[in-house]
Amino acid sequence: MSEEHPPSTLAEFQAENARLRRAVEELSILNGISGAISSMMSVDSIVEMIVQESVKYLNVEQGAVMLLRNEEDTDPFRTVARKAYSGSDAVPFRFGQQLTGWMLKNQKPLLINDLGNDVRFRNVASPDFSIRSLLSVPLKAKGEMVGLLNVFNKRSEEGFTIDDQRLLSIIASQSAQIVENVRLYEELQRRSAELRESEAKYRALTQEAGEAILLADFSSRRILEVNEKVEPLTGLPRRVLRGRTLAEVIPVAEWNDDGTFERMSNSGHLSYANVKLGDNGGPTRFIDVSATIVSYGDNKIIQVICHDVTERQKLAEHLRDHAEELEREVEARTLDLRNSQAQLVQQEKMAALGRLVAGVAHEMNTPIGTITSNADTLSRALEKLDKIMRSDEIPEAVRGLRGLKQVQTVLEDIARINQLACDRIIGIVSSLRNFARLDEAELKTADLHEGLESTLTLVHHELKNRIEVVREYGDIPPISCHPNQINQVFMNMLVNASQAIKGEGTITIRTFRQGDIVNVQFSDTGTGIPPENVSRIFDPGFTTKGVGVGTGLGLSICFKIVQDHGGSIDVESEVGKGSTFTIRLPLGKDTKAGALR
Amino acid sequence: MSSQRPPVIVIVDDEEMVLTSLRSFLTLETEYAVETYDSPTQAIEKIRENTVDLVISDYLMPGMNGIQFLLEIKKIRPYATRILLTGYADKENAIKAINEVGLYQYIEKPWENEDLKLVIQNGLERRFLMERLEEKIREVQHVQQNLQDIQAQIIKAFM
Repeated sequence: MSEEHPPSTLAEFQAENARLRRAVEELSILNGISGAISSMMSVDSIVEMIVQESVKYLNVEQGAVMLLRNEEDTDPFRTVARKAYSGSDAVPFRFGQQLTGWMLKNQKPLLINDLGNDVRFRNVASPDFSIRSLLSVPLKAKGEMVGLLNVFNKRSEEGFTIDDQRLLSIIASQSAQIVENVRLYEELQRRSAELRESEAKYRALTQEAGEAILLADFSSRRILEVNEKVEPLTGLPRRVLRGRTLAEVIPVAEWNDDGTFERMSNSGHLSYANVKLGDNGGPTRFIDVSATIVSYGDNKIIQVICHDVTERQKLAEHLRDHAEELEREVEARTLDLRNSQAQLVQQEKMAALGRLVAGVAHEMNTPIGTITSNADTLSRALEKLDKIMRSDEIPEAVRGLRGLKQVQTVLEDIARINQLACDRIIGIVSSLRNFARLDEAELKTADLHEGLESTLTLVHHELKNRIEVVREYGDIPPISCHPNQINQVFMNMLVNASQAIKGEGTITIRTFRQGDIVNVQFSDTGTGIPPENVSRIFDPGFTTKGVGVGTGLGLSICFKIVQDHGGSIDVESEVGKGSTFTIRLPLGKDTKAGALR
Repeated sequence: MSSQRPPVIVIVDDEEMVLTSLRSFLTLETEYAVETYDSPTQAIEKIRENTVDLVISDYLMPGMNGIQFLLEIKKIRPYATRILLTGYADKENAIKAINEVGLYQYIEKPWENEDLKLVIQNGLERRFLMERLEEKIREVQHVQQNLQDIQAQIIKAFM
């Protein structure tokens, strides 16, 4: 713009002088602008000052700064941030569009001194068009056009000069960056104010909502922020929570699967009920989880709202526990009832059987007594007859009668066999009486071996020819018990053992003493009891024998009887090998057995 | 006197089979005179008229039970030995009766012939011992009476 060598002529000097003056003015304008900026004025006031100074210095009727909108708009494509200064008329709309359109396209200074004849804008010119000349320069910040600085109608004959253009360009280049900076600053402030406001709103919403809220980055699923409700819920401080993955903090199983979040991305929302927290050491809580994708600019955030339903869950659990407890109680009572009912029935049955047996035994006394006696008498009579037949008084002819000796032999055989048969009947009746022992409701001191023998006599028909009974009787003292009840237990053991043995086998009865306990053991070589049934065999009504064979009450009654005697009964069994039932009875007199009757 | 006649045994039971059975046995094995009745009242009538040394009675009979019957016999023939023949279930009653009524023995049904024979033998022995004892007492009393008479005569004679 200027030569570097010193001025030599007056004209040159004057020119130089003018140049310096202009430079000073330029500087003063720029100073003003800088001052305005340094006082942190708003974009509006800065722009107004630029327009004011430009109009004044370039001596024009109007000036304007137009700033590009950031956001796209249907309208002029750009907006006028600050319009004319002095003068009356605004820039006509159509022309304005033409001008800005040209500037946006060419992005260089435009100088027109005769607008009416300018071919580029002729179509839009009109008779009442008040703009005659114009100078427009782009406002550029970091090479990007951010707006235009325009001046209209130079108040001199010569119109706008190249110097004017240069000056305006300088002003523009100085102000553009400042304007842009301020504008950005203002934008920033506005945005941050907005952000603060929305954040405040959000905070108010989230903090007072009572729900725990977590925000996580969508792509990494790592927690960005949590509200204060999350800390007590998870038992973890906020600083620890930040950066952890959602799945670490909230154990929704599906969150370990990326597909879940892809689905969430499509639907925007997923929810889960009754998620249990606290497996990682925190307090045990139950939450309903609601996860939502929130778009934030280009970023996606997962917003997780946790609704604490622990109390509800506890209540539900409590209710469930309570219901279960009730159910158990009802079940136990039902079992008890069924048990005692079964026992009552069984006891009544046994009592009835006992009465029947006693009655039958009594009724049999007379005929059996008679037959037994007769058999004996017959034997004696035959003996006498034999003696008589041998005496000398009997003639040889009679003694030698054919068939007489034969008749005698037959009668003798019959008498002998009758006696044996009677002995057996007497034994059975006696066993029946011993077994029922109706006369012994009270505690008695009884010899268990006697009870075993009586019982064995009664089950003889079940065992004979098929099952060998091995007695391994030890040295046991008599015990205090209800013999009829204990015999009933023995009967059950023997019948069960014989039923367990298909075909031939062995039942071994062992008795032995251990301190104050007498053990009676029944081992069979039967089919055995499957493990799944072992625990149930003492339950009332449990039977595997099928309809008509067992009532399912036998062992439960045995269990109760032995229990009431202060003893115990247990079983060891192996399928295919057999079972061993061990009955342990205390010697002592302080048993509860009286409770049964 | 007693050794001159066979001992008389009366058996009472409402069951014919028991009577026959016992009679057969005793007839075969002993020299006793055995009389059997299936009715206690009939038996009482006969016993009133005839001598009896031993009575065996069933316990449960229609009309009169064995204990009542034997109590009646005790009144008529106090020296006769009384035996109750009873079933197992009546044992308690039988024992009670032995104490209350003073029975010699009870025999349980079904009985052993040999046992029965022994009990009867002992019972009869007891009965005859009692009788002999009575005789001795009577003799002693008689002698005493004679002595008293003689004493009276002597006193009279001296006075």
